[in-house]
Amino acid sequence: MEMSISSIKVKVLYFANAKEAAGTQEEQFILSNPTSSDLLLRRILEIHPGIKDLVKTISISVNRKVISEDILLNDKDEIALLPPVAGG
Amino acid sequence: MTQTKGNNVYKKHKFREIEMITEKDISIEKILKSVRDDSVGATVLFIGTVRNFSEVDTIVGMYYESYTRMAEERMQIIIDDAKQKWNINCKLLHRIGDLEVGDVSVVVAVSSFHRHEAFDACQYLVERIKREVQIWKKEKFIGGNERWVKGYLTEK
Repeated sequence: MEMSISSIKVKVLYFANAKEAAGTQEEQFILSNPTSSDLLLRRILEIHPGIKDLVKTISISVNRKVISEDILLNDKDEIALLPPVAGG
Repeated sequence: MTQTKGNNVYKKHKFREIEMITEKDISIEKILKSVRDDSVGATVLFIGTVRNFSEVDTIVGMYYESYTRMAEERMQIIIDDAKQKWNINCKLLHRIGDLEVGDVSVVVAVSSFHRHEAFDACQYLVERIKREVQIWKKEKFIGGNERWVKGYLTEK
């Protein structure tokens, strides 16, 4: 049986123009358990409204896997906001 | 309950075993050496450099950043895919940080028994790196303006 935790701590990483809009590269969030990725994103947008303009083009990864639907977050998850990539 | 899946274990061990993102100058010679052996008949080398113009204005430099761990995992997947298609040795190295015009930003070296495989695989690797790897770049223009280069959406 897994122990139920009333809150979870996750790390959020911002890159490129999302980093500039957030004014930070990395943040910790303490969230009530359960919290979904959509809920976290809404909270991020409340704190950093500058990201709203970018959100349509941003992909979200959880533990370095891009998610395509709303998922429940776990303690110690690493979430990243990924603007369109441009290596080379 | 364990959350670790089989191929995550593989990736975890792979991580940082081979550096694919660096803040240091890229040594082309070292990379070439790493893909060569006596069975190789052809080596193809792609060198990406910072150029001095874009459609907007004169460029004086480029800033690169990465989500390094995810980027290197993705690069490993791309290499594995290429090796499924062709019998090659290859090495990818991408630089991040502040670069000047003319600096080498990315190198892809591919060697194989014969040239066709090396040419095809090199192009395949370069295209996928540009589209899929978690790297971002910002053009720095002559007047002091800056602009993030429009990129490709990361898809699932």
